Amino acid sequence: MRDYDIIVIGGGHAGIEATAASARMGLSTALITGELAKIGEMSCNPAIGGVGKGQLVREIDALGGVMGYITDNTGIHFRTLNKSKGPAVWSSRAQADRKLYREFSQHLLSEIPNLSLVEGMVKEIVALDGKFDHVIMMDGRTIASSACVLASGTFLNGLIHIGEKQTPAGRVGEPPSLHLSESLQKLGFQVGRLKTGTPPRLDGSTIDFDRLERQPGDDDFKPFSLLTNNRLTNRAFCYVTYTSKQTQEIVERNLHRSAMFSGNIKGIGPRYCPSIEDKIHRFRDKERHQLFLEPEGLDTNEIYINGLSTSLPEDVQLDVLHSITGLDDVVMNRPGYAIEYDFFPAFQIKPSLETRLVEHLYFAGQINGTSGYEEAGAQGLMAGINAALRLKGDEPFYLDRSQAYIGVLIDDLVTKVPTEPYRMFTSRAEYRLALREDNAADRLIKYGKRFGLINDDIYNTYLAKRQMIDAEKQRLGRTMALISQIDSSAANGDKCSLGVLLKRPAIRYQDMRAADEVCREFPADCAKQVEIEIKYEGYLDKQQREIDRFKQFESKVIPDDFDVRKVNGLKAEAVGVLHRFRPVSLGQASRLAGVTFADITVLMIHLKRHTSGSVSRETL
Amino acid sequence: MTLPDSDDTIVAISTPPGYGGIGVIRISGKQAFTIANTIIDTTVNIMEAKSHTIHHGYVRGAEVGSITDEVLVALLRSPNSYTGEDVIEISAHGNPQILKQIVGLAIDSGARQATAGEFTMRAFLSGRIDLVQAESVADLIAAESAAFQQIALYQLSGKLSAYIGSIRAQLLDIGALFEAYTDFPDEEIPRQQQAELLAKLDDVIESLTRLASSYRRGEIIRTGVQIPIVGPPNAGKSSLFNVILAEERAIVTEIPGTTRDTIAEKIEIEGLAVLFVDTAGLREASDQIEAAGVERSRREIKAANLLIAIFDVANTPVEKIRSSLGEMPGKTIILALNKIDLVSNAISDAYTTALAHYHPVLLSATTLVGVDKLVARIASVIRESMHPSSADGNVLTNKRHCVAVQNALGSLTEACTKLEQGESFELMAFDLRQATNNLEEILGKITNDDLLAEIFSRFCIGK
Repeated sequence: MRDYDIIVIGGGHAGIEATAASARMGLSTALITGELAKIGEMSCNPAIGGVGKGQLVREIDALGGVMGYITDNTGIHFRTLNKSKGPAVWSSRAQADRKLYREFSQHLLSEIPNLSLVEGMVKEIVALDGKFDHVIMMDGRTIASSACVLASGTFLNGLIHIGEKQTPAGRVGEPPSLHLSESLQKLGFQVGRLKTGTPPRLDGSTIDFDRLERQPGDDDFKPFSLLTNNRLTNRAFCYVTYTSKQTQEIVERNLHRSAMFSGNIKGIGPRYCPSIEDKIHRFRDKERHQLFLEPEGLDTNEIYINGLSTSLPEDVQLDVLHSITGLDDVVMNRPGYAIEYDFFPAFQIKPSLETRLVEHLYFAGQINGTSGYEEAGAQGLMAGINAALRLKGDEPFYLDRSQAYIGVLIDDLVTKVPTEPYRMFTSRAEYRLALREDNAADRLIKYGKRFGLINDDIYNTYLAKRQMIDAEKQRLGRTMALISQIDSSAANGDKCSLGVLLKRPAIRYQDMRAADEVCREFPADCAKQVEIEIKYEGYLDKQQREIDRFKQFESKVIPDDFDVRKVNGLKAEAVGVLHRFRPVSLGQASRLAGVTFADITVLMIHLKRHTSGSVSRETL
Repeated sequence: MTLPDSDDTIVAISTPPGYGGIGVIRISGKQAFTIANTIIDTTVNIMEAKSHTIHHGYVRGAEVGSITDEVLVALLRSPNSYTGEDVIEISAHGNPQILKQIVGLAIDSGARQATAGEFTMRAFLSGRIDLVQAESVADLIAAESAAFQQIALYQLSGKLSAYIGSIRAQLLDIGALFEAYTDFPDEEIPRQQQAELLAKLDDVIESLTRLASSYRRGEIIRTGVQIPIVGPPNAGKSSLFNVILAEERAIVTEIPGTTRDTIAEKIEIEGLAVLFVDTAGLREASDQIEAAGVERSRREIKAANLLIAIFDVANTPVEKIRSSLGEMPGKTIILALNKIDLVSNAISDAYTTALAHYHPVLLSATTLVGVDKLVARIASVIRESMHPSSADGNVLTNKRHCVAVQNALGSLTEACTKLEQGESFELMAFDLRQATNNLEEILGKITNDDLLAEIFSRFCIGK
């Protein structure tokens, strides 16, 4: 007897998305987690978005996920990063109220039909004949379902390091999951170990904010979610401060006491989010390092110090804090720490996130070697959708690298050997100019609609806006105006179309209001879109040609039954890599390290024969 | 076009068609040794003999007990062979009938007739050589001059690929900086880095510009130089042509207008293939045939960058020579003043002085006086046209490569402009990526099977 269609293990950002998606797609879904009150916890900083990550959040939202909506409703400080650069890399970021985020997430899940919340720790995953069957809980209960999404975060054999001290934990104050990882290894999965870290939390009432640079939020922030109609208000500030010469001395003097440097930590840490000891050790010449003080919430004084992740002993952490401008007398609420945890290198999953070893079992989030809420949320959503599609008998849902950051993320996961926790960057996306926050809905809303995750109202509102934008672009193209009326530097008398004028770097949409009545009336958010699309047109055309070429290789499918070991002419290294990663297309194969272009050509020849029967000898 | 199957064992005659002292048959693929073992009788066991050994033997005939030929068979085991596969090379007597029979026997034993360039394609597919190297093999075989042969060898050695690869690495390096600016908005990056970036980009642009401009030189090296010999009727064009070629190639008479059609012959000067073209004398034609010839001469002049203008000092006034030369602006002209054996030293000196601007070469195509000087002059002009020094082996000889380099240059120039105008980094990063892709195309990192099939179809079968 099945208790549910789908169970999701873990109540973090991946688990929430997976649960919400599968329940809303009509499947009875249970979310199992150690402590229900911790669903929606932000284990690290209380912020959503950032460079490359804001793009992920908007994509999740366009597909019908919940992260953007929760953030809009619990955010207290909203900002667009990279504003001085082009729209392709504008990235939204919000500080959320940690407590509100948790509460809102739990409330949101409680309102979704078909959804149950189950408290308890899973001890074992049981598969029968290579197919997921049920889980056994620590208290001996069994829960059976047709599919399972495992989103266990840093809980698998989690071990916290603070200086010389080590404590088994999944997150500070919560026990780790000690048996689940072994149960997966028994099923044949290969395990690896990663490390991540978090900075100390401070008592804000002991910080001298007057001496620090204040960072206000943006007034015209565009909400993350298509569901949000109201303007978002900034209700808190962030602050900027810097390490000092003294900080450097303290860290260097105590380097041997850091868990990172003493050799206690075996897992690999991220290069892009280095601990303070790492930064100071590696960049000795740099006089100071920038730090951000971020509020944890509206009804708390607690402050998160972004940029000061560390595994130094508690007493040293306090010395370090006191050496920082504005923190001379700061009280530390709790120390920063490093955490090591088990993960399962992602060559063991398919691009649908289903595991190769166990059918109907999906992995999402840190278990696949990623880091970050947004990366986790994206995978959770995709795993939830794919598990639901699988049970309905539909084809799996993939996004490729030209369609979404989510596509880039998953493709990177299944084609690369992880060397550190994976974080999204815009530079990972080769079609970055086409994958913008502003066009996330253009790219993805149709899928959200198809899966029933985007309702008709939202979809129709989107369509109406899209039509307005297209109509305005066309109108600008055919409306002639005196150039001098818009661009004061131009000579008198010359005319050109508003569309051509808007292509000029210095001309903004609002500049045309002087000469054109319709522009004056046109809604601001649509106007922004019009401007971006017209200004980027040339680049997008060029990028499209690259995408077309990319698709040629992506569309050359490598069938499931194709055995690379039988292909004559492939080098042994390539056979090994291809057999391990099992790429689904020639394009994906070409991105594997150890596979050369010559190997791809050999594969191409064999695939042709594989698909078209046999090549007749006469034609050769 | 599709690429042929890479599983088969292939066979072809690898020496040129026709009769020769010996002829070589090459067999490559998994079955090569088995096939050789089936069709050849030797004292050693081919299946077990060491790689890179040569053995004497007999190719069996179609009938039991008969013999097709007495041969030497070379055994080259994978991966240490031209294709990277097991290879058998059979040196037989150079009779086309015998060679065909041996190929037929191999095919009967399971081999397939190789398609054009297929051996080289297998070398490429086995990862032994990259695309630039593969293309250079075709060039090397077709090379008509020592200089082109040198370039092709240089490319085959992988040095050009390595050079392009090093430029690609520089681009990736610069690109990483642009990416860092984009992905870490909080990182403070010193302003001076902008100047550094620009300088680095300029370096790459300079290297690529040099490479792109080498194509003209490369083309000269590949196809040679074409030098028409032009001038009025009876100036001695055909005589000079014959003298330079050292053979009676063109018909020479005293009748003006003897040469009706252009004739071309190639010789090697300075390691380059130089094509001399004898043309019809330039004048109002007396009949339709001559008129067509004169028209061809004019076309040759128009197409040429370098030409020899020859005049008869015994019959042509200085003014006439000057005005004729004036009608050929923008050309590199080697001025030959012919028939000095018919005039006094004083007169020839007067011509030299009057036309000093053109550095005329005085000569007589009949007595051969001054001909050496003319040939030396041609050589020095060719040397100059090869400028900058050909010591740098990184010369493009392939149109495909040149187009890719030019595209890369276009993108990089755009990136520089944007950098100077202070535009956003993600746009420059885009240009840089495009340029990187262009260079990767040359090396065959991104390409498609049509392109491959086209490249390898340039080969003759057996390579």
